[in-house]
Amino acid sequence: MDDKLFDEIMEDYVDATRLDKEVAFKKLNERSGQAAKVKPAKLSTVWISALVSLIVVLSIAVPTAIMYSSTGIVKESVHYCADSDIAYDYVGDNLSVLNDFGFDIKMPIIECEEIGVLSTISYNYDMVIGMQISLLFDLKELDYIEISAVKKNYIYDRYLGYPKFSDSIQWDGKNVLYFRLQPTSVTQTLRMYFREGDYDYYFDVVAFAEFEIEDILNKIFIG
Amino acid sequence: MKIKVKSKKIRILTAILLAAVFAVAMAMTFKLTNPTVAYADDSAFASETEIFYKGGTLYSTANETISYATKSVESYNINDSYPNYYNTDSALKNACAAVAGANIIGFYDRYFDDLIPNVTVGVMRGTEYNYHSMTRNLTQKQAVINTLFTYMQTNQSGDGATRSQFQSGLKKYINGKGLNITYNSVMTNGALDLNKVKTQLKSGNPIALYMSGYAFSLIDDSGKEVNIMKQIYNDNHIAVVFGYDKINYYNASGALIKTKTFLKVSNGKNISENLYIVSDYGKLNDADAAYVY
Repeated sequence: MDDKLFDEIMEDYVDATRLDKEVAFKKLNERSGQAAKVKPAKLSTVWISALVSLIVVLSIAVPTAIMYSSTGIVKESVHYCADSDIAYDYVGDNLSVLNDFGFDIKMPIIECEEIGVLSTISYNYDMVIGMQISLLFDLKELDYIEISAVKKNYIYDRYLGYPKFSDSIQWDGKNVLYFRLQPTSVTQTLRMYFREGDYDYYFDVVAFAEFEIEDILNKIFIG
Repeated sequence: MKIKVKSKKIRILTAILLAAVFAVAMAMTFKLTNPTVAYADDSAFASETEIFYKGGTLYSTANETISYATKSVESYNINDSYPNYYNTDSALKNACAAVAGANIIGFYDRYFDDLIPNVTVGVMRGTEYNYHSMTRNLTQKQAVINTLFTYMQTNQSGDGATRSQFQSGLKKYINGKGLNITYNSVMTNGALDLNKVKTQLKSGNPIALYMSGYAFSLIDDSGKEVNIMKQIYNDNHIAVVFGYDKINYYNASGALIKTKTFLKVSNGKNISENLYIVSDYGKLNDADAAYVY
């Protein structure tokens, strides 16, 4: 009911009942005065809704955005390494020297003509995160095999594509992903990847004949 | 009264939606820079005479798939195998020009043995010459890169080296070995001229590409579908061409679906992606064939 209409009705009632206006309207006036004094903050429902939704979405979106990278949801402890973050330090030509660095990695045992490269891989020039071995062969069947073992929470951009290979085999209890490059008239090139323990293993194998993946992995690690 | 209630609900919903959109937009500002998204190199927008080629490592990846019924291939390689050296000295920054020069030198060392002292850069296998990898005689090959790095005045007047610095530095190295080198452009009206490319490759001359933005690719061809896997870079880089494939893909009706021209390159990056696709990504500023004699 409209307030003005209500007042008119009350006025008419008081007049009709011959009540003292002051007495009749006492409570009503007290209530109105309190209402005038208190003046409740009437926040628009619209603004409240907007504020609540802003807080809710921010509390979800900000942590999600911070954690997201192009490689998917990654843990904060994963480090992305570009070539510019990586340093190679040559450590000689004897594989046993790698034990000095405390690497718990799968060592190749394949006999080769010489070790072309044996180096540690450092991140930000101070943290050793893996090793790289280039094994050179006598050019009869194999040209070279390059192996990099990198701690699994370091994603080295040179090898970004390796864990995405679509072809795979099971070998030694591991899922080995691989990709065969288009062969030239002389060479066959294979890239492989698997994870074992705390390390990701990346392989480039260049050979002069076709070979089975299981065979080459057996040659490299089992003999 | 009904209209009043409805409009209030709409106002509430609109406010919620706008707030959510605003919040997401704000949250995106917290997103870590995507490390696999290539960065634009400011020097890519400089005038041609000021472009510094330094190489880069940040890239994004993309796949392109073409389903086809038949294809025709026009192809030529100076040699099936070619050097693909890369810098292994972390102290040398922005070394792509020096590496490209080393790949040219490595190629010609087959014919002029002293270009890389005490190194045989490859071996005959049947009728094909197979160039060795970077890791065979690495020290000597890296020494060539180091020398070229200095001769090309790398990082002296900008990050990396310009085209003219690349050419003069390589010339200085070649002349120091008692040989000569000439450069012949394979561009016409600012675009790669495939006929000139063919002529130079058939003459046995590798070609240096000067690129601002580029993609190096691998292809996986099943015989009815080809998957082109690209690594995309936004920096300025020099790579060396040793062959090309021009492939026309046709559908079952014999209609041409797509033509792709792949240049086979030493990418200078120690990656297997060795195909530069013409007119696919980025800008090819120049291309020069290098003839050593």
